[in-house]
Amino acid sequence: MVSGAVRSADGAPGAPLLAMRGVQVTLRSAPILRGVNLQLARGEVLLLAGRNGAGKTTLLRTAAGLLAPEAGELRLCGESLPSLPRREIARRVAYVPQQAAFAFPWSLLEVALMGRTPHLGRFGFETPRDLALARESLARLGIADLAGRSILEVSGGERQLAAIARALAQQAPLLLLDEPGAHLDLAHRHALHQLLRQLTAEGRSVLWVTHDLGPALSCADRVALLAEGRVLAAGAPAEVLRPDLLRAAFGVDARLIHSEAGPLLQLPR
Amino acid sequence: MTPLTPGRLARSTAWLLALLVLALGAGVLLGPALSPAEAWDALRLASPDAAALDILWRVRLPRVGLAALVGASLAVAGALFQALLRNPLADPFILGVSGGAALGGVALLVLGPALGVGAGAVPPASFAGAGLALLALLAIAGPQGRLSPAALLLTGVVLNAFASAAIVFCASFSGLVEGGRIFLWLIGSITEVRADVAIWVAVFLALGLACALPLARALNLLALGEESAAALGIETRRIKLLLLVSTSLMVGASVAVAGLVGFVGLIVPHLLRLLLGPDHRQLLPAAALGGAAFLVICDTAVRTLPAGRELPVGALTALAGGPFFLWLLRRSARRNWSALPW
Repeated sequence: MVSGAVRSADGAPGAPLLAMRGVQVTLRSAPILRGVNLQLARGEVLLLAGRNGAGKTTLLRTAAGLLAPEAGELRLCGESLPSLPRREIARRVAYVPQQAAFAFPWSLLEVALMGRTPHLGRFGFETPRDLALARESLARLGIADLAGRSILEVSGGERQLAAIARALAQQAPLLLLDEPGAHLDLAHRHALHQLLRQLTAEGRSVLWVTHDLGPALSCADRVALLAEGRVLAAGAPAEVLRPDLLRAAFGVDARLIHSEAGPLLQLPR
Repeated sequence: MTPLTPGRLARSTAWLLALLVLALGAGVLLGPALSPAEAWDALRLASPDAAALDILWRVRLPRVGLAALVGASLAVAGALFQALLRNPLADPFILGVSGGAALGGVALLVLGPALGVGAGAVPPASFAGAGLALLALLAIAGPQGRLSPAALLLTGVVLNAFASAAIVFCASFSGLVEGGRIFLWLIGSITEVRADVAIWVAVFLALGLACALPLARALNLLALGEESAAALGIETRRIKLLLLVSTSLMVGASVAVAGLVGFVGLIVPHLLRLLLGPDHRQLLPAAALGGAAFLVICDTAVRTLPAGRELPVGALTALAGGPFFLWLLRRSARRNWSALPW
């Protein structure tokens, strides 16, 4: 299992980074995912949208290996994800949950450093390289100057950025973000969009759950609409965000327009 | 706090080791019946007085050693509970785990004669009691451990009240109430030192530490929530099971010899976290050394206080710990609660 190919997180080079086929997940005896088909290529940003309770977070948690599918096929770099060891999954997938939880006064640098865990030996200390990667991650999210501050004393948005920095330091080819913009101000949201584009240029992929179907579209390669535990449609934003599909997914009449400021979803007055 | 380095870990360990040596020295030299000079002579085996040798080697040294073992166990268990439950207010005594251990011990004392087991089997019985209480707590907290701090503390209050009632109930049937022994146990005291039981404590503490220390970095992540820890490659279920066993071992052993000494697991890890930061790779060894020093100092204090009768050490730790707990509660309530995982 510990072959060179696995360690470099390449798996089968030609395979898509993440492939779900007929994935079913049940939580507390309620079916949440009812046969999801979804693929994510390397270097791609896929935006996952759908109404509240459609199963978006469950899909992310499944892709992070935190929930085991009852049926269907879930492959990461061409290998069956449920049969990979936890640590190996953590080297390939970084997951940022919706709500970052902290009970102790870690500094932001220490939080980012936690992302190095899957790469460290059991008793080993972080090396200067790990430290440099953690600092770089904080810098890329624009919070390098907060490195020494306690996570309990910074704002909710800064806490969210620190959680994303932790995921970046993990250096996984797949990044799962659950509404990362929820606590972010305009400037930080914009910076995040730019960061995601840089990441895809580096060959990393992002599966991104968001309700922000406006500005976020400008950095998405594809959009997938999730409704009642199934992928309704997936493809280029213009193909997927059609009035009929939007109506089916959200139950409102909305339409995608291309304004000077970029793509926008227009709701009925 | 800057990230932990091996150098910083070595420095903090050396300082706390020095503190422990000082505390042990004070504990051995100070106390009733022997002046410090007499105690020093007896320690070097240079005393002509056979009674002094006896007091020092048979009474004082074992007692100081036991105080150190119990203090270390309780402080480490407290630090582990705080990480496991993501609650800085957690402590074996407050959560009722010590109460469960005491109930296990008393149940054995009551039923033991009928089963043909002696008092030497109290530590395993306390271990079982602690484990059951902790299992109950985790079951109530749910799989995600998302219990509000208030609900968690209330659960502890109820577990404690139930355990105390059951202990008194058992004891009143078996004559343990006489002579105040049960009272000493409920308040926590290290007056009786039995060699057979002391060995158990040392073994349980060693086992508990051996389980817990390799988990230190995983504990750092577990404090972020189980999902985040799992997403970073931590086998959370295995780690929770190991924590359950190791904390039950340590709490069970210390309750078996010293009864319900409270708040050590709250005060010591918290002060150390303020001084050293939250990294468990440093906090756990520091809690072991600091907890040992703390309880040795407290026990020395109750032995040397000019009271009419010797104060149980648990009364002193509770006297210090009660106000400390309230201060912590107020402090964390003023903090930004939204940063916390409930």
